[in-house]
Amino acid sequence: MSRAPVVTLVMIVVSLLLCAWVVACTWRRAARLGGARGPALVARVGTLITHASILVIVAGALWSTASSMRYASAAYLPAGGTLDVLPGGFTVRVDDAWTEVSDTGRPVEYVSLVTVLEGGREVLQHRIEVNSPLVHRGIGVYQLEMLPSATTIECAQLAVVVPADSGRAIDVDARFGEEAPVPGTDLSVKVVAFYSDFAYDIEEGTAALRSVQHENPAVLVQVAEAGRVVGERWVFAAFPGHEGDAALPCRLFLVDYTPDFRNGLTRFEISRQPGAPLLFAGLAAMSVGLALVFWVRIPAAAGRARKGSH
Amino acid sequence: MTPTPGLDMPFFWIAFWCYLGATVAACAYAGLRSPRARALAYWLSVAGLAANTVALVVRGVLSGHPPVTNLFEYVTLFAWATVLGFVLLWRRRGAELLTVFGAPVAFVLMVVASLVPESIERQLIPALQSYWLWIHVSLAVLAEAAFAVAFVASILYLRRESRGGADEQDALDAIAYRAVGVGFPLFTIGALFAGAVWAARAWGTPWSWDPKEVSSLIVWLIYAAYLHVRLARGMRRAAAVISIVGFTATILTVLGSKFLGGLHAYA
Repeated sequence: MSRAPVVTLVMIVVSLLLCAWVVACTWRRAARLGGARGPALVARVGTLITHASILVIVAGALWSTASSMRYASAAYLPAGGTLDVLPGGFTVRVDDAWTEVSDTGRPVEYVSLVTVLEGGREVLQHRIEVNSPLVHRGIGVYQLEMLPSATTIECAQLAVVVPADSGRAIDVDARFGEEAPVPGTDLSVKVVAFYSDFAYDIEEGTAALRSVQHENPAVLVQVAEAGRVVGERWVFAAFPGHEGDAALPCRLFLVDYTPDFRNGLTRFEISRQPGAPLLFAGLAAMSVGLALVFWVRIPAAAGRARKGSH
Repeated sequence: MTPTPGLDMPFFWIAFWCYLGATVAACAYAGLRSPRARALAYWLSVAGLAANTVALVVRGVLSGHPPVTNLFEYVTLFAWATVLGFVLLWRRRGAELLTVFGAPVAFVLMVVASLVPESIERQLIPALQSYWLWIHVSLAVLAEAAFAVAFVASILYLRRESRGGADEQDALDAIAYRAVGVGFPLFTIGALFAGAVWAARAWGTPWSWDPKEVSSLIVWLIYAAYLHVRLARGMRRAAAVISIVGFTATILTVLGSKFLGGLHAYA
C-alpha cells in the first residue's frame, strides 16, 4: 500500500474524531443557551457558531479530498494552441498570450486571452491572469506560467569584431528580422532565427529546438557586405568562442538579448475544488463566531478574566 | 523611474538603536528597579516607534505599495505593530513591566530584519498583485503583534508567580488573555480565511500543505488550546506556558519560509 492513501485515511479518521468531539461539545453548549442573557448570550452563541463552523470546515475539506482534481497542463501553448479540459468536456483555445513587463524588465502580469470551445462552438471568451482564473462548468483554469517566445526575440545585442582577426568589437543592437548596419564598416547583420534551447540534430544535420526553456539561447545571424549576403552563423550566448564552419568577414558574439514577451507561451493549471465554498462558509462562520466571542462581548469576557486585578 | 534605494534605511537604523537602548534600559530596570530606567525604556520605545513609522512610510512611498512584500518589510512591520501594542498598554494598570519588556522583542525582530536583504521592489510579481495581499498580510501581522504582547505578559506572569504578587499576576494574565482575544480572531480571519480565499483564486486550491500554511495551522491550534485551557479550564499557568510556545511557533512561521521554501518563499 502506498503512503498517500494511508495518510489520507489517517486524516479522515482524525477529522471524524474531531467532528465527534466538536458535536458533543456543541450539543452541550447548545443546551446551555436557554439560561443566558445579554453579553453572556452573545458569547455563547459565538462559541456555538465557532464550534459548529469546525464541522462545516471539516466537511468542506473531506468533500474536497474525495472529489477535488488538480493538474498542470503538460504543454506550453502559443497563440492558436488548444488544451482539452477533459473533466469539463470543453476545450480552451489560446487566442493570445503575453507577459506585461515594467520599464526595468520585471514581469508585471501574465495574460492569456482564451476562447472556450464546446463541440467546436465558441461559447465564452476570457482574459486569464494570475489572480483572475477562468471558471467554467465548475472547473478553474489558472495561469500557472508564462515563458517568452522560444523562436523569436525582440532584439539581440551583438558584439561584432571586424576585421575578424582584430580585437576591436563594435556593439550592434539588431532587432529580430531587421537589418542592422555595423557602424564604421560596410557590413550589416540580421538576426534571422532564434532558438531558446539550441540543439543539433545529428541525424538530420540541422539545428533544432530542444525545449521552450531558455537553456541554450542561440541566434542565427546573417552577415552582408556592401549589401550582399556573404554568410550566416549560429551565435551562442553560452559558448562565445564557437566559430562554426562559415567563413565570415567578422567574428560575432551574442552579448545579451531582449526576449519576445509579446508572443508568450502560456501554461495552465486545471483545478476543481467542489468543497471550497463549504470550506469558505465554515471559515466565514468561524470568523463571525470568534468576533462575537472576543470583540462584541469583550467587556464581559475581560471582566471574568480580570477578576481581582483592580 | 527607479526609486532611490536606502532612503528609508537611516530611519530603520534609528529605530534599531532606539529599541536596543530601550532593551538596555529594560534590563537596567529589571536589576535596579529605577523609575528613571523604566521611563527611559518607554521613551526610547516611543522614539523607536516614531522612526520605525517613518521608515515604513518612506519605504511605502519609494516602492509605490504598502511595505509588506518581502521578509525585511514584514519583520519591520511586525516590530512596529508589536511596539505599538506595548506603547498603547503603557497607561494600563498592571502593565508597567510589560511596556518596558516589549522593547527586547522589537529589538530581536529588528535584528532579524537587519540580516535579510532590504531591497525595494517597486514592481510586484504577478502573484502578489491582488488586494488580498493587504488584507491577508496586514491582519496576520496585527495578530502576531497581539501574540507578542501575550508572550511577554505570559513570561512576566510566570516570573511573578515565583515571586508572589497575586494582583500583578491577575493583571498580566488578563492582558495576555485579551491580547490573544484580539489576535486569535485576527489570525483566523487574516492568515487562514483571507489566505485560503486568495490561494483558491491564485493557485486553484485553498490549501496546498505549504510549509507556511501548515505552520500557521499549528499556531492556530496552539492558541485554540490556550483559549480552551485558559477560558474553559481556568488553568492560568498552563495557559501562560502555551502562550509562550504559541509565540515561538509564530516566529518560526514568520521565518520558516526563508528556510523551507514553498509557495510563500518570496515572503
